[in-house]
Amino acid sequence: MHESNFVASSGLDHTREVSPHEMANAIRVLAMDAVERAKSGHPGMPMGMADVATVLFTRFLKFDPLDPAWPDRDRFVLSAGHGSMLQYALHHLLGYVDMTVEELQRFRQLGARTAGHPEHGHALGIETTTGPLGQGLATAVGMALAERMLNTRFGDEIVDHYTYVIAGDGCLMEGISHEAIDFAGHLALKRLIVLWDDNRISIDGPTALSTSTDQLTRFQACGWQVESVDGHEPEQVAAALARAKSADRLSRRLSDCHWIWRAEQGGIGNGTRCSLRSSRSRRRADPPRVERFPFRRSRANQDGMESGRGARANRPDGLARASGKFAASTCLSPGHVLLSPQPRF
Amino acid sequence: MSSYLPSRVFEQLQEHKRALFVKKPTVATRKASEMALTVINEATDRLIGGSADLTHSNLTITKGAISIKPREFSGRYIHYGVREHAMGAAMNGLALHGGFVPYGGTFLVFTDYARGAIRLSALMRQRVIYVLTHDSIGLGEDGPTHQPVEHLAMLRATPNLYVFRPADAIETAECWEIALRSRETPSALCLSRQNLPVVRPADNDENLCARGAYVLYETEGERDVTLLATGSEVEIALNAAKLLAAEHAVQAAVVSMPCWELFESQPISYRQEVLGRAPRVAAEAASRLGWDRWLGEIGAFVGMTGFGASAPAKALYEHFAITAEAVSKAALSLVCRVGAADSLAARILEKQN
Repeated sequence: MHESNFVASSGLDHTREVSPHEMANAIRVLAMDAVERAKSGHPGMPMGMADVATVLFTRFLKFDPLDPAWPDRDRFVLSAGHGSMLQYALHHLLGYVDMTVEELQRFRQLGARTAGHPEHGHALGIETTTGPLGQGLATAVGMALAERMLNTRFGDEIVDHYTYVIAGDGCLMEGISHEAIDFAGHLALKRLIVLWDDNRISIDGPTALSTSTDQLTRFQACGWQVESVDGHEPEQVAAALARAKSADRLSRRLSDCHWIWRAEQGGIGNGTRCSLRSSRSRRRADPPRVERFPFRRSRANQDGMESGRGARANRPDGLARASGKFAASTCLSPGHVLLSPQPRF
Repeated sequence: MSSYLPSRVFEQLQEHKRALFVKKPTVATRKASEMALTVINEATDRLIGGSADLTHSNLTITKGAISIKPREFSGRYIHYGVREHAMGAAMNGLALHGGFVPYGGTFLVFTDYARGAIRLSALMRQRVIYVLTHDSIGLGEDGPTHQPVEHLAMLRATPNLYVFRPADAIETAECWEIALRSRETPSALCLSRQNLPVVRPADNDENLCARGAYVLYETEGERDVTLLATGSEVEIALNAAKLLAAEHAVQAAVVSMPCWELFESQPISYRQEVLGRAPRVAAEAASRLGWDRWLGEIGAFVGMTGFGASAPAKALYEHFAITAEAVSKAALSLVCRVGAADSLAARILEKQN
């Protein structure tokens, strides 16, 4: 690693805060480069969900990259597992110690932590293996149920977290999705929030080839609260997530974003592609910020996050020095659709 | 939020097993599972049960267990509804989250519906316990749509999954113990609808199922044939051994094989000792696929060759010829064939000399 030399010569100020837009673009570039290098993978989902993921991870998700097993962390499930680079890029930017740039460079290679689809146990913070579409969504139902059951037993001081899912069109087409959302709606699992990436594309072509379902209505019929927002408008996403969280009742919001269109308009598809090195330089130039929540912080405190330099920037491996407490990470976040079970009964 | 199970669970299970040796109850293994669960759930609150709308067939709820309801999460039993796939996935989520050891019931045949989640339990190395009752044509009247045939082979083909098919109440308790101790391997407990007698002859604190297979009945002299069986067919194999001895003076040992995967992991010396050198006949009311691993080149299989049918269980076992008589006949045929080959070899040797 010649990281420090590189940074030194870059002349870039990596102490300034990174904007959500920059973070999202960093995710996009990392995803593009990794997929390009592997000549395999699915860049579309990370492209489209980068803004949403940035909002979720930097403003809502309660987690600590330096303590990925913290029991009261929020659970994040990338049900659309083919978009694995979204999660790997996030973990890299957020400072998960095992998600180095080398791992990103080895995306989809034998023995890499960055398997084609997220594999539980391969990398820190991968809460469950996903890839078979719909499985992540249904597994998250169990996680959200476990949270409520433990909360009932031990109280808010000990157990007080959310389960977030990024699901794609395919997840919602699979039959298991209906079992899952029906069951979650019935139980009123208000701590389960699903962000649906309504990108309207499938392998064979537009999803219109094979589905005409009004997903929002379907979720509503199962007892979910739904909401549709533009996934490329961070404030819209944030507001919807805040509403989903604050609902006393079950809230699941579905945000319906036409992100493909947005992406085209936003210049994501301008054809600028960076090499992994250049993406790394981008990361160095714009070190992601991390927000770390103190263990067991009270709910009242959770809105006032303490922030600091990105954990990765402070790592002792040359990427950064650690000093003091601080926090973590950074930037990216998922999704488009927010769904939460709504208290209908 | 640990999923640690207190030692009390295993102590109570041991006590339960000792009591079973005294009582020797003739019960379906699904009932035996309920009995074991009663003991386990009294000893710990970490287990979270459930069923995909077959609670009183799977016998998965224990006395006093309160059901989870909308917005009421204090209970320990989950009514998953007719959602086998989501049940499996939700159990994965419960296990991954930490704090609980989930088990859930359905009919063995509906593992088809839950398959995607079962596979992920195994891939993710999660302690998820599938309680799969009505595990053969012994299910009876519901007919071939509900009678598993190929499912044991499917489950056994799945890496990192323990597939248990206990023969009686004692084996069932032992298999539950193994499932609970297996922190990185999910378990499929395949259980009978029909009653089965206790086949384990001697009181023994050792968990014999933990070796995957063991000699249940050994011959006094050299074995003429070894009968291999699992679950409800172990009783049939024992009766076949008696028939062979009484009517044909053929010495047959009987091996119960409640868990192939655990047996495969035993030292070869143990496997050889159990399997013996005599020809082997296997009995299992399911498809043959996989059994040749244990039968070798000279072996016979008594089981299913097609789908089942709608009728009382006893009539079905007769109809599909999965009986002590059929096993005995297959063994006799095999012994005669091998005997003929031996005499042929003897003649050839004689001629060469």
